[in-house]
Parts: sequence; structure tokens; C-alpha cells
Amino acid sequence: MSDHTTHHEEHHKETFISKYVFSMDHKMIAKQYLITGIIMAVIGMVLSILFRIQLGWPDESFPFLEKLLGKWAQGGRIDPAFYMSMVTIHGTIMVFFVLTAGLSGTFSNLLIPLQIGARDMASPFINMLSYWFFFLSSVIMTWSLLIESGPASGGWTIYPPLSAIPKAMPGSGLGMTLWLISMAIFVASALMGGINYISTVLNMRTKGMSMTKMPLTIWAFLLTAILGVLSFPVLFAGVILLIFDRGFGTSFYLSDIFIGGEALPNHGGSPVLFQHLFWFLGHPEVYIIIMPALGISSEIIATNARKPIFGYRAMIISLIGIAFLSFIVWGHHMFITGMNPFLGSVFMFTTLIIAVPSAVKTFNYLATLWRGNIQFTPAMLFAIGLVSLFITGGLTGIFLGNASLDINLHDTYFVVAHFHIVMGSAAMFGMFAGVYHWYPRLFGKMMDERLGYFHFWLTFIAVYCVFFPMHFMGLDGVPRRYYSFTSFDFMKEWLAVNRFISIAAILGSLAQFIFLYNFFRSIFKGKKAPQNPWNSNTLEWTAPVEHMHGNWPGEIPWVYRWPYDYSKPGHDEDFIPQNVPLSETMSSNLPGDYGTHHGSKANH
Amino acid sequence: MNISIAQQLKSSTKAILLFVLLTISSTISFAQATMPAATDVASQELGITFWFYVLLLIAAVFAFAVINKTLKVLELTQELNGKKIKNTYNKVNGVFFIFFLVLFLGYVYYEFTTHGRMVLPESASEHGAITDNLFNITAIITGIVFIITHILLFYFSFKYKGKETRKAFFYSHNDKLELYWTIIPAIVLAVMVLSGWKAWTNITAPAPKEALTLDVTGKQFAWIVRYPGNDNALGSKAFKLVNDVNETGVDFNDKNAKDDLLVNEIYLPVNRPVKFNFNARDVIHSAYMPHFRAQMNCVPGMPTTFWFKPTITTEQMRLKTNDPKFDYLLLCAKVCGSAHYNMQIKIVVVNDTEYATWLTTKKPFYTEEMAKQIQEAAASVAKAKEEKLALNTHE
Repeated sequence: MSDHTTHHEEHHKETFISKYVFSMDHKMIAKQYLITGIIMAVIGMVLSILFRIQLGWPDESFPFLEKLLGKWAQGGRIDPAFYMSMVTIHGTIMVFFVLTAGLSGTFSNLLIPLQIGARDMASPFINMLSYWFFFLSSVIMTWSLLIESGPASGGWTIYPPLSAIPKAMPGSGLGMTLWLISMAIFVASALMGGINYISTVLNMRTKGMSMTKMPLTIWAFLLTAILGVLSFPVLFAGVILLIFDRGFGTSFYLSDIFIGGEALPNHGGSPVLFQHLFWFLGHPEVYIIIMPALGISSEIIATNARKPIFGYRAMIISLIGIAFLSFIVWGHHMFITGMNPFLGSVFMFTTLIIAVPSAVKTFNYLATLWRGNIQFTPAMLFAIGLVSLFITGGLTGIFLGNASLDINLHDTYFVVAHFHIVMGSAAMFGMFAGVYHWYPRLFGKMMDERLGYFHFWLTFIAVYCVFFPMHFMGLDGVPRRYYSFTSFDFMKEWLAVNRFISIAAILGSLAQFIFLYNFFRSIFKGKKAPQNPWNSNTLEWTAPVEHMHGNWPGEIPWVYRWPYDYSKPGHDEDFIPQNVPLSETMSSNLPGDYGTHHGSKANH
Repeated sequence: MNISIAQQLKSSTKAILLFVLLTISSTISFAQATMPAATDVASQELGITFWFYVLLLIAAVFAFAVINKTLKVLELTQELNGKKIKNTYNKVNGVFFIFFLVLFLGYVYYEFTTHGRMVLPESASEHGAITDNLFNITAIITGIVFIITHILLFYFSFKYKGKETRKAFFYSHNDKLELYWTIIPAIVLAVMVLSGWKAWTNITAPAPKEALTLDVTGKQFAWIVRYPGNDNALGSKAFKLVNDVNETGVDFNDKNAKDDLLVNEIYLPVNRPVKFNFNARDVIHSAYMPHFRAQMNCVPGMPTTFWFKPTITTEQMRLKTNDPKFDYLLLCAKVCGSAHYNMQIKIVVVNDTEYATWLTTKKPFYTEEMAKQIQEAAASVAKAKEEKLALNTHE
């Protein structure tokens, strides 16, 4: 192995900067995405703990908060305006910076070239640029936490006029400007990444790797990238128009407003227009978040159940179905904005249809586990946890997708519970599963399994303790984004429940330090990873453990079979990697393997 | 190898001792912290409680380390006996899943029976009874799916946990089965869409003619409610007319406006449809009346409406909920600024005679004096604007 590296260094003269900072190697970029994502996740988590303290103990003062937050927590109690800021930035960081960039940025970069058998991305330079745009937007978003007037505070959906008029609330001043700049840069980063992923998957597959021999991870990343490329520009347009309204006196979103003692001159705009533009990205966005997690869990469940994924083609079709439908359901976020009720009926119809492919995926996961030989690696535990959360959160979506029920549930804690389970926690579990599973590929070391078990069980229990009671708060008509529940008599009975939720959230977040310790310690002190630690079929495990430019020292392996030949009858081992020719496995070949069934012709 | 295990044990005993010591010392320091001190209580308390939490955290980390070390010892002994630790962990996690299943179902039952009882009382509006019914049907269907899929998921995880001797069953697809579990959810969802669609169309249909029409305007952070008065017609309004006296910008040249009423509490007659005309004058608000299962956004520059028929008076609801202080509320559900969490107005549902009596106690808010005030306010606004322009200090 050292031969390769020395050989390499002679040719390229890699400096520290070109190797670790401005690297164009997809594996290094994946690591950069992951570590930036983890840092952002910790910031998002700390914010959530701070506002959980407020919600759990609304009447008590905590002097340490004043030490930590200064003027935002005078007398040890969090300021209402800063509470709103924390909720806003928590949402923004988790949705965009952790679960979009951190999740699909990491694993698309790592796995697309390695699993399809390519030397690198289609354009390594744009790939590097994509990371550094993401880094810049992360820095701006984090920096906005430190400015005097406070960060953006209108909720992560930044509906105007609240976000458009600096007078409307403290965070709508410089904080919102920084938010908008950061998001504009983020969109540029997401587009550069997305274009790269799509062109790499379509053009650079190794010989024999037809579309229907690709692992489901790649299908998920490809469709995610397509969603991103088609929907992020719409957010970009929305953001630019908002910048115009804020800075240049246009009236795209503003009309008939009297605020701060004077009537604004704006006329003819519509705040609902922004909501349409925002949710045209916003809804595909939640699938941009969950689809990579579903792809990752498909791969991990098949590998660790030692069984082919059940219904490979149905899984692909349902992914395509979800991707297509996700573009025509955005209106279900807007049932009660005053949108035409007929339009509401249409969106209700499309929204409930999207539950069908989701149900198919769930049943296929269950069928994959059935009669398997399940190896409980930490990755597998998190993948099973994902399925559980996907079911729980998906089912509450059926309530919210129904316009007539949404009237009473809209903007309540029922919604908070729903999306934190189905896209927040489930996607986070997918990310954890991915990190545990591909850690050997990322760092060439193994993570500590025991710590992984602790991490999983504590997190899994904490997630249900935190989010499950919130459904009932929502059914009691408790709206979200409330600074405290002390102003209404009927909400006071939920104070004790909120304290329980806060304690569970704090304990759950402490459990994340087990992961952080395990992650960073294993980089340096972990056991050295074998080449194929999970006996997996996919191509990334045929590459040498030590990273090198170009991924494979010699020729890129050819692919002869689909990636799910696990426990195939007639074969001694319980796995047959994709690069093993059919001629070497005569005892286990099935009639379908020679072409017709899995969709492609094995012509070599 | 034996020696190394002994060493491990020794170090874990040390850790336990340290853990006990820390627990005791932190409890003592906490006890001291809670005792009233003679001088400078606050700062002392701050210092000690802080260290209490630090010690607690250290103790927790140590406790965790002890468990971790013990497991490592277990791992080593297993390896000594020639067993593979992988299989042990498969077994342990598989069994955990069955424990978790039982615990989880128990927890869900507890949630439904405890927190499930704290939800809103029965709907006080006509359409709400229908959507509540729809909600219950959806809850039963999804509940069944939820329980069955979770039992299967965790039971499979337990039953098929990895063993050296087991080989997984190569089963790649079953088109018939997949067709079934595509079509069945599709049919169930189609039924739900149809019933939801029916309810939604009825709710959003135009309000009946006899409906009482109210004008509700949201502002940061209060609701302004205007009744039409005796003529049952609301006067028109324009945001340019808004000032400190005329908060919603009612146009008093409109003769319908002359007898309009402004109220601090919304009184509604029972069993008569009421139509709300919603508007906001600064940012988006959402008028949420949870007890009536009613909600509609209030958007600046875009009028919205919602109508419903209240069916239960406040008095009756107080009896039903056994809460003499119960009140219906209209609250804000769309984030609108720092005091979003406290933007409410009381709704009182009464019978017709009580409503008529209440109405007679209200005087139209338009008076000669007010007209004068409005003119003054408008003049001062205009003057301020002129000065601003003259000084060129436009914001």
C-alpha cells in the first residue's frame, strides 16, 4: 500500500493544502462534507437544547444561560426574540446544512464513483467548488448567530412580510440578510454538487454496470440530485425576489401593509407567492433529505440481513414514483393560506398517492428482514430504527395530507412531531447508519461497535420519548413556535409533559457525544479496517483500504451481476461481489442471471 | 490473559469507587447549595449548582466507562472460550428488540391513555364533528398498520438474528405479493381521499346567506374584531386609512361603517352560521380556533374567509369538560414576531336571547369625537411625512 502512496506523491507533489484543503478527490471531499455536517449538527443540537430548556422550565431562570448568551438571556431567561431565532436557525441548519449537504453531500461524493466504478467525479474541480461554497454558506449562517441584532427569526420557512420588513422583528434586519446570502450560496453549492452527481452516474459507470445493476444507494442519490437540480433554482428565485423586496423597494411579496406607525407604499404583491416558490423547493427538499437515507438503509439492510433486497425493481419504481410525485404535492403545506379550495383538493389527492410508494418501500424492507440472517452491526440497528421511524412518521402524514383534517392540525405540535420523526430523525438515522457502515471506507479504520450499540439504543429511545407526546399536544391545539405555554390556561397542563420532553432531549443529546467520541477517536486509534468488513457485494469494497487517486490501482473492475447476490443457494459463501463473473459461479447461477430478468444483458 | 482480566477488573473497581465518591460529594455540594447562605446567596448558588452539574456529568461518564469496561471483560472471556463476540452481540441486540417491542407497545398504550385524554374536547362546531369522525377513522386504520408493521419489524429482528449456523433465504421478489401491497394501500388511501375531499368541499363551500359576518384583523400582537351592527353589513376599509385611532382603516364615508362595533370578546349566537372575513395589517397571522376545528391564515393584502356553525355554548362546554373556567379561544398559529406566543381573544358562544342582550350593550365605535381625532391623526401623519421629505431623512 505504501508503494502506491509514494509512487503517487512523486507524480503529483501533494502539499497539505492540495491534499486536505482544496482537494479534488471525491473521498476527501466526502470527508470534508461529513465533518462540516457534524459540526453544523452539533450547533443545531445545542440550539435545540437551549430552547428545550426554555420550553421545559419557562418560569425558572438559569444564570448559566446569561453567561452563555449575554443580552439574549438577561436574568437567566431566554429572550422571546432570541427564542424565535434559535428555532429558525435550528431548522435551517438541520434541514439544509446537516441533512441535505451533510447527508447527500457526504455519501453521494463517497459512494457514487466507488459504487459505479469510476475514478472520480465527472468534474472534480466543480466538486471541490461545491464543497467550498457550502463551507462559505455554513460560515455565514453560523456567523449570523453572533451579530448584534440577532440571527434570522421568522422560522426556517422565512415567510414574508415578517422576513421582508426589518421593523417586523429584530431578526428581520441584518440577520435575515445574512440568512438570504448564505442560502443563495448554498443553492449554488447544491446545484454544482447535483449536476456532478447526475453526469457521473449517467456517463461514468464501469463496464457491465447497467442502470438496473446499480445499488439502490446510487439510484437514490441520482434521483435526489435530479430533485435538487430541478427545485433549488426555484428557491433561489424566491430568495432573490425577497432580497429585491427588502433592499430595492419592489413589491413582489408585499401589499397593503401598515407597520411601525406607517403605511408602506408597497402595493400589488402577494405573500402567498413566496410560499408557492418556497414550497416548490420545500417539498421536494424533504425527499432530498429522506431519499438518500432510504437508499443507504436499503443497502445496509440487504447486506446485514444477508439477503437480496426484496423487490429491487419495485424499490426503484417507488423511488422514481416518490421523486416524480414530490413535485406536485407542495400545496399541502398551504391548505389554509387562503389558496383556492379546489387546488387544495388536487394537492390532497397527490399527497395521499405518495403514501403508496412509501408503503411499498416499507413492506419491502420487512420482507427483506424475513428469514434473513441478521448481523446487528450499529449500522444495521440504525437502519432498522429508520424503518420504524419512517413508518411512525409516515402514518401521521396521512392525517396531515388530508386537507379537512389539516385545518385543525396545521401549525400545531402534531406537525412538529410528524416531520421530526419522518424526515428529521429518520434521515438522521440514515446518516448515522451510513457513517457506521462506510466508516472503514472513509477512514480506513473501524469504529467501536460497543459504543455504537449504546449510541443506537439511547438515541432510539430518546427520539420516541421526545417526539411521541408532541402528537397529543398538537391534538390539544397547541401551536408550534410558541415561546412558552404559560399564557394560555388550556396549555398549562402540558408543562409537565414539556419538562419530560426536555429531559429526554437533553439525555438524548448527551448520547450523541458517545458518537462524537467514537467518531473522532477511531480516526486515530481505531482498529485497522479489513478490505471488506461487512462481506458486501458492492464495488467500493474491492478498492484498496488506503485512499488513492483513481480509486483502483489497476484496471477498474467490471461488473457482471446485480449487487444483491447474498446467500445465493449453491454458493459456498453468503455473498458474491458484483465483479465476480458468472463463469466462476456456475453452481449458483439462476436462469435469470443471464440477462433477461434483472434488466440488462451480461455481454462479457 | 488471566492477569489482564484481573487488571481490567481492578481498574473497573477503581472506577466504581471513584463514581461512588463523586456521587456522594456532588450530593453533598448540592445539599449545601440548597441551604440558605447568609450572604450573596445568588452568586454562591450559581457557583455550586454549576459544579454540581459538572460533577454529575463526570460521574455519568465514569459510570458509562465502567459499563463499557465490564463489557470489554466479557468480550475477552468470550474470546478465551473460543466464542465469536459477533454472535453474542447479534443475540443481545435481537433480544433487545423483543424487549423494546414490549416496552414500545406499552409506551404507546400509556401515551394514548394518558396524553390521549388531554386533547381537545368534542368539537363545538358542526363541521368539526365530521372531521373528528374522519380523524378517528384514519387513526384506527393507521393505528392498525402502525402496530402490525412494528410487531413484524421487531419480531423479525429478534427471530432472524444472525447465527453461525443460519443461512438466509434467497428470496429476491414476488410480483404478486408486491402487487397486493401496492393495490391495497392505494384502495384504502383512495377511500380516505374521497371522504376527506367531501368534507373539505363542504367546509370550504360559500357561507349561507343568513350567516353573521365578522371582520377579524390580525396585527402584532392582537386581534381586532368588528361586528356589522344592526344593518348586518360591514363598512369597507383600506390600509391607507389606518392610524392610531382607526386601527383597521375603516372608511367612515361608507354608510355601512357608521354602526359597526368593535369588541374585546367575540360573542357568537349558537346554531347560527358565522362567517369570518380575515385580514392582517402587518405580517401573516393565522386565526386558529381549535375548539371549533377552524383555522385560516390572515394575509396582508389578501382577504380570506372561513365559516362554521357553533353548536355548543360556552356554558354547556363548561359542564361537559367539568371546568368552570373553560373558554373558547381564537389564537395565532402562524409565527408573527416575538410575542407570537401570546396573541389571543376570547370567544363566547351564547344562546340567541343572551346574544341580543349583549348586542344592545355595545355602542357603535364611530362618534363625532372620533371623526375629529381621526382627522387630527391623519393630519399629523401627513405632516410628519412632509417633514421627513424636507429633511431628506427617509428611512
